[in-house]
Amino acid sequence: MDHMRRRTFLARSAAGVTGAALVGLGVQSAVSNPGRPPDIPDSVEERVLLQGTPHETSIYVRETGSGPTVVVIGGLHGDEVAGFRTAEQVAHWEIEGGNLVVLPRANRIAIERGERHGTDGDLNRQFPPGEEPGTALARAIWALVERHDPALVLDLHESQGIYRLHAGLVGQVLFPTAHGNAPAHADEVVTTLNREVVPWHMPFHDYKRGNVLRGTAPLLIHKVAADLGRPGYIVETTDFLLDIDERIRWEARATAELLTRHGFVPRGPSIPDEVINR
Amino acid sequence: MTPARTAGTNTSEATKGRLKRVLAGWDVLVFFALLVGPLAVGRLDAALMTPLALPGYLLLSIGSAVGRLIVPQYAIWLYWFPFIVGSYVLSVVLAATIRPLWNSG
Repeated sequence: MDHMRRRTFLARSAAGVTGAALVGLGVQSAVSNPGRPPDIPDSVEERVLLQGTPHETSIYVRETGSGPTVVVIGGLHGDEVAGFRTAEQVAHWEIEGGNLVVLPRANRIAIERGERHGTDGDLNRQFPPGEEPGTALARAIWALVERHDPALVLDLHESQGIYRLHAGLVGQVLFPTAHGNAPAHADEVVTTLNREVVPWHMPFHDYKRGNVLRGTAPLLIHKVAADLGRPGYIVETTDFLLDIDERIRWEARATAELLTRHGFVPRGPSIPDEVINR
Repeated sequence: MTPARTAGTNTSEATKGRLKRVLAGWDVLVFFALLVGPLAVGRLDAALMTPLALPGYLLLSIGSAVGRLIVPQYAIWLYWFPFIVGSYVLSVVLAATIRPLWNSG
């Protein structure tokens, strides 16, 4: 692990100069973006990742000044609508006890094309643990994550099928890293979602806890596990028999429950009272 | 028309009637509607996904799981087509099974 972290640090040093310029954080903040959704509260600061490039995409930051930071990412895959639309909803939230950084449309080109991949293949296969990410966009995303030194990272996705029902598909699963008691929290959240969100007459849609992510694959949350040693989750909701509003509702609820389990109380639209009071 | 031809025509009409009853009788349509209707409505609007959709839900879920094993390259939504055909076949079988009970009652 130390070896991996040292390699990442070296890579970070090399990428740091370009990363700062690419991300534009600290240099360029509170950018006035005509694409900013009108209902994003004024207290949310908008920044831009890779401004001036084809990958330019907004970051929404709500800082309370102190406390740990949560990073929420959506849209690594452009055809997973519930992932990036849930992240957009999370951008409206505030969390008690910490700062919230949301990158809803990480792979904006892929989203606009309605495709899984963008211009450089599968973005969520560009984060090799212990090494520099494989593309400029992946490097900028990783620089954003590292810069905020997050206490928790959530990566929101969608799958067309259901894990262990449809071979090779991973919907209705929370994949935790091994850190910060994440596997146990994932188990708790799965139980809560199946009790309070998934209807009894949709038994195959029960959420499951997936395998623990330990840095064995070039996925963003694997890299969070291996290089940062922090809790993180991939949240996967299926579009099988669920309309888009329902998928967003379920994915947002999973997100809110995970935040709560890690000591961050989310407040904002669509968060049920039972989450806040839990 | 001769009596023989009249008898033949009547037999043919009766066969057609029986076939129509077996393949498109009201009981077939009821079973088909119960299997497909609630699930289709629930897919369009999750608020309308009720327990009535459970039979169709089980059929489509299991059918798509089997289909996925056989032809994994197909998108999951494509399994609606075999689901609809399978629901119709199942409706015919179910209707044929309960029809004698219904008629004897």
